[in-house]
Amino acid sequence: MREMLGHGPGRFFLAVVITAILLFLFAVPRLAFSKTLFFGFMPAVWFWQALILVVCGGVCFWYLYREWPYRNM
Amino acid sequence: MTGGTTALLLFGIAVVLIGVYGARVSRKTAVDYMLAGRQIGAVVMFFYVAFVIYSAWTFYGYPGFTYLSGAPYSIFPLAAHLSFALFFVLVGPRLWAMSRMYGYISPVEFVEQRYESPFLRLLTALVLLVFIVPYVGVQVVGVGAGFHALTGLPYLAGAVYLAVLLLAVVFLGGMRTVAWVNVLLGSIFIAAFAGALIWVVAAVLPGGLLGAAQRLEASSPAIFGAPGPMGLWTYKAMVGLSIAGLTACAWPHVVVTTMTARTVGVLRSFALAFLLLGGVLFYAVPNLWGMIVGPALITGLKGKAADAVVQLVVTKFLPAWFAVFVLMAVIAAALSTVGTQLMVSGIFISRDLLTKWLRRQVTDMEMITYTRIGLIVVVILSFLLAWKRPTEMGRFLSDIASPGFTQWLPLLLGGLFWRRATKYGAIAGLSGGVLVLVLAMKYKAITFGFQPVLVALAVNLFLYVMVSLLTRPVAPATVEMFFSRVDKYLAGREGVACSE
Repeated sequence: MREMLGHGPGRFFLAVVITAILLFLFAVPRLAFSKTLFFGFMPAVWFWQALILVVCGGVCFWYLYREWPYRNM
Repeated sequence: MTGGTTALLLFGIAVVLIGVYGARVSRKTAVDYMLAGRQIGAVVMFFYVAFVIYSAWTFYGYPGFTYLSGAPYSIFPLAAHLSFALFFVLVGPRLWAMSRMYGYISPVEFVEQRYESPFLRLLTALVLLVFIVPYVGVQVVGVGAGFHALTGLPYLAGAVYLAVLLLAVVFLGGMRTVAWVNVLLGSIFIAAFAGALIWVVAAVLPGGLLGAAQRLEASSPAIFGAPGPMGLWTYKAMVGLSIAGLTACAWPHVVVTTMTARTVGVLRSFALAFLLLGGVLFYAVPNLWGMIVGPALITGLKGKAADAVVQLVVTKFLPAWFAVFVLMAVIAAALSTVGTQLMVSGIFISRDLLTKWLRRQVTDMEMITYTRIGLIVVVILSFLLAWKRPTEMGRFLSDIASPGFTQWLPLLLGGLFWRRATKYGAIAGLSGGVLVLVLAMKYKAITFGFQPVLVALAVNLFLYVMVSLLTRPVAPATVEMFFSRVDKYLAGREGVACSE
């Protein structure tokens, strides 16, 4: 993590990670009060969490396979 | 003997034979027994760690408590997925590197050297051991519930069955066998858990998933959002649940797996696979069971009876042979989790407690023997807890074990990333956090309406930081050992100093 702070892509990655954590902490509990079902079966609390994980996963894929600072040994 | 009981007996014999084979191929060194020789590759790592995490709780406790309390309970496991994935890429590399550089076997070993405190290592190991017992107990409870639901045998019969299998796999074969067995057991679990869901939705549920969801929207909409059917999920409670999930990365039986990877790239592969395949895809299965399928097909379950909602649906609506397959999958899930938990417990007892107390060098075989003694002790304690079964299974994990593990997270992360952290801060934080957590279980008023884990962690962090800043820092040589040398190692600029 210390190495990630040393380059731009790493700082962007960490910013996304921190945003995801904050969303889980503060936004998801608010959104959980909705009883909307997405796609006819998916409660809102589950939908929003899955969306955060997908976006995070996409950013992880980009960063970990293109910019990860560790030598693979 | 019924067909179901026969199948379970044969399954048990197969697992014991794997344990025996694992013992034969083991290199009989402490590192091989405890850390699978640090040779776990990407595919095995995914199954190994995922099914360390996915346990009987995923089958029983989580759908059961979702059935009772509603969809917001999903915040805990899904936040945990994010937590584990991020832990493997942000923290895992440093733990992996130190394990190789300094020969660590226990995840707590670095605590002593980093903080220059054998006492802190002892305290940390004891705290983690205490909270591992209820987590192991969860698995025993789950298998007992499943046995009873399927075969009608007493709940204790399932608990004893699991205990015997555990001792065979873990006792004989060690961590390498646990990792292999997790690939097999994980595959069975996925096939049975998801297979049962697909079968029930396609052939049993009138109108399928959408029909069931529409009916529940009309009859019991409370299940789909906060505060839920039990009125449990206030905003504060859900923030606490989120914290419990986001701090799940502190689970010691997951932390230790970072030290078993063959290369640092394995950690990266695991993180991505777990986030997407695990959190988004696989966890749709227990979500659907707890939020829609269970409530649509079995009504009126209360309290601990809801733990068995999935097993009840399977037993009532699917053929007997498939119900047995599903129970085997549950046993597989429990075994895969408890196996690693027991290994870690054994490592704590042998490496962090007994050998420090003996104050002499021990041979690898002695270390393995002490580990095995530790396994037996933890199995007995967990069995006793399962027998008592004081609360719903879901709560064993989210309300007791996981919050307990969380209390070492500040000293773990601080030790890796904050040079100014001191042993006095770590001892104060860990002790304060655990004390608040234990008191909060009995005296709810001290939490001011927040989840106990939140209050305990806040106290822990405050003490850790303030006391560290007010006390003498560690020696510069220690800082260099855990910061610049590790940085160089990860950048490939320093060779391996000590490893096996």
